[in-house]
Amino acid sequence: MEKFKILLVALFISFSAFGQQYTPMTAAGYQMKRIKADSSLHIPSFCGVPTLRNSTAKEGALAMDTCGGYLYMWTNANGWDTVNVSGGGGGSTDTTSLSNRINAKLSTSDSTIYYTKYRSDTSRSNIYTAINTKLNKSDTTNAFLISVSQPNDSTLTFVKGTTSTDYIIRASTSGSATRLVTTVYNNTGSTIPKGSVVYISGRHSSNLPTIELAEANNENNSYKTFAVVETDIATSNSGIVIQAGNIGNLNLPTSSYTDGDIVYLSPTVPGGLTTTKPLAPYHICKIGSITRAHPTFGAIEVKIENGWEVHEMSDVQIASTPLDSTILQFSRVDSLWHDVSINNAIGTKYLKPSDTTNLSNRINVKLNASDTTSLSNRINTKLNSADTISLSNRINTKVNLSDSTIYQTKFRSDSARTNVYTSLTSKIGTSDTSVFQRKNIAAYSFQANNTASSANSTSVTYKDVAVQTISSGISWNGTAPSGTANHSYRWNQIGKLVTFNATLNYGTAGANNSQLTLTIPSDLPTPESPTSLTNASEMQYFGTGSMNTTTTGIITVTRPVMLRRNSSNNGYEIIMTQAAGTAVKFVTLTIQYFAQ
Amino acid sequence: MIHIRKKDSSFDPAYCYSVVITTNWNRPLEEHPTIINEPEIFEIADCEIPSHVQYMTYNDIIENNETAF
Repeated sequence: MEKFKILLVALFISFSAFGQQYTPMTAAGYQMKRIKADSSLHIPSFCGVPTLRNSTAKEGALAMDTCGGYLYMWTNANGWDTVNVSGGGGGSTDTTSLSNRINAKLSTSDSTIYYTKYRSDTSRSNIYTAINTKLNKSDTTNAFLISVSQPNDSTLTFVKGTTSTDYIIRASTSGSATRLVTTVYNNTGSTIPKGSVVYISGRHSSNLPTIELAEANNENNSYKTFAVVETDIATSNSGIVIQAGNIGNLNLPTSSYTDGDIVYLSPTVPGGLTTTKPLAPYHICKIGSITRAHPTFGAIEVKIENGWEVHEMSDVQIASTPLDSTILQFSRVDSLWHDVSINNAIGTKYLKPSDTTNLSNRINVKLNASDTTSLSNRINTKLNSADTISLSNRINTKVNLSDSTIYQTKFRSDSARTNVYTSLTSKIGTSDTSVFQRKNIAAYSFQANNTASSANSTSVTYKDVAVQTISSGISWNGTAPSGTANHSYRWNQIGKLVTFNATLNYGTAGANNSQLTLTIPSDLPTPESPTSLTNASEMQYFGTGSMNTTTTGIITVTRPVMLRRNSSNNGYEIIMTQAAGTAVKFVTLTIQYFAQ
Repeated sequence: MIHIRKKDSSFDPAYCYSVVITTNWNRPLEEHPTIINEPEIFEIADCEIPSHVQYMTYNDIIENNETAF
């Protein structure tokens, strides 16, 4: 303190001396080499941010914000900067954790600020690229799975964004297993070649099943048949066998195999195949189907099916080695098949060797033993006892001797029937297939041969029509006869030839009757016009007849009758004329023509 | 329709109904030769002609009572 006082005095003297000689202060202020303060150094203080007060000395400055509690430091490069008395400068009053202090600066919640403030663009780009490889940034549409669900047993549904995709499990064969294989071990002491058929014989210490060659020569070697060797398996080595599916590159020459052949386990070659179905006493075991017969690229679709023995059936209960001469019999008691002796099988239902009773008793079993009447009565029951005639007659009744056809069919040997048939053939002409048709021929027909040589008959028209009444179509010249009308006609046709007859019988004679015109009845066949005679009123055919006043008079003169086309040429009429008109009471006429 | 018929014509199908053909007769039926010459045999009728009709072409020939054959 004493020194300080001395210093102050000295300063005072100095300043006083200096003050005696005024020297203006430069813009940079007074310059001193150093200041050594003894107690405290008072530096400029401000309330707020200090100023340099127009000082030109800008190398550095210190000032204090007494209001805010900041020590200000000036540098030309950065201007005023502060050191807060509560948080900066490593003051002991900042008790928060370092991470919090860093967070306050880094603002980790604001990733944009973080990246922007503290990472260079290059670094940010590298980080972005590195993250992209993990996040698959290229999948910008459906980058993430929203949900996975299983709508049914065979479907999985993946939802990405707004897209829902169903994945069907085993929807196609492309994703399905084509073979069922097993790894096995060969401890037989020999190489088991490719394509050999094997069965599982036990277990190797490697926990792989061991195999041996199967053979259909007996049950023991065949019923365990398991698979086909895929490739050669050396002894003391493991390998693959195929239980189901394709095996290729086999020696299956086309000389011995055909595509589609079924191959069976060989009964004579251990591990071998055969296309011949093994029959008892061999054991059948189907191995698969030839899908390609080829000497080097042969292929088999393996599907092993071991044959079953009878005693292995689930509804068969018999000894593994049944007794000799036993038969298989079904029992409704347990719904199983059993091996039983013949005696037991027959039981009491049928005659059997063990029935030592007399023959009549045995017969009684068959003849209804409860029928205590005589044997003949029993027989009568079967043979219709009401039929009291002889036995032979009764047999005849059954055999129906009178019906030779039935008899021969039922009771003749085939050769006898053939002989009978042969003998009948010559009589009934079986080679003429139309023979029997003659028994039932077409309506209004008969059979004839209208050819120049021998031939099968053909159907020809035959029609004989009964008498009918004429009630219209009559026209006379002169005074027509009248009164009671008994007019009739009749016609028939044989082949094309038609014969027509008409009778007109009046009660009262006419007068001056010179011509009768009669329209042919509508049921007559249409006439066939002779060549070139097809015009109206042209004559077609000629006949004959008579006009008279009595039905009893002797006819001495015939009258001409003609069939012609009518004047309109749309029908036919019969004209009968006589030169001079007379009284006519009775007419008869007949004409023949050929029908169309 | 009006026509000339024999007087003994009958609508009974068992008997004749005889009609004179007058297709080409352009004068009154009353002047037809059958009516003029043989009024005791023919007459004019105005009725339907039955289906069993027979027609006659009247020839102006003097009736003779020749018995044919």
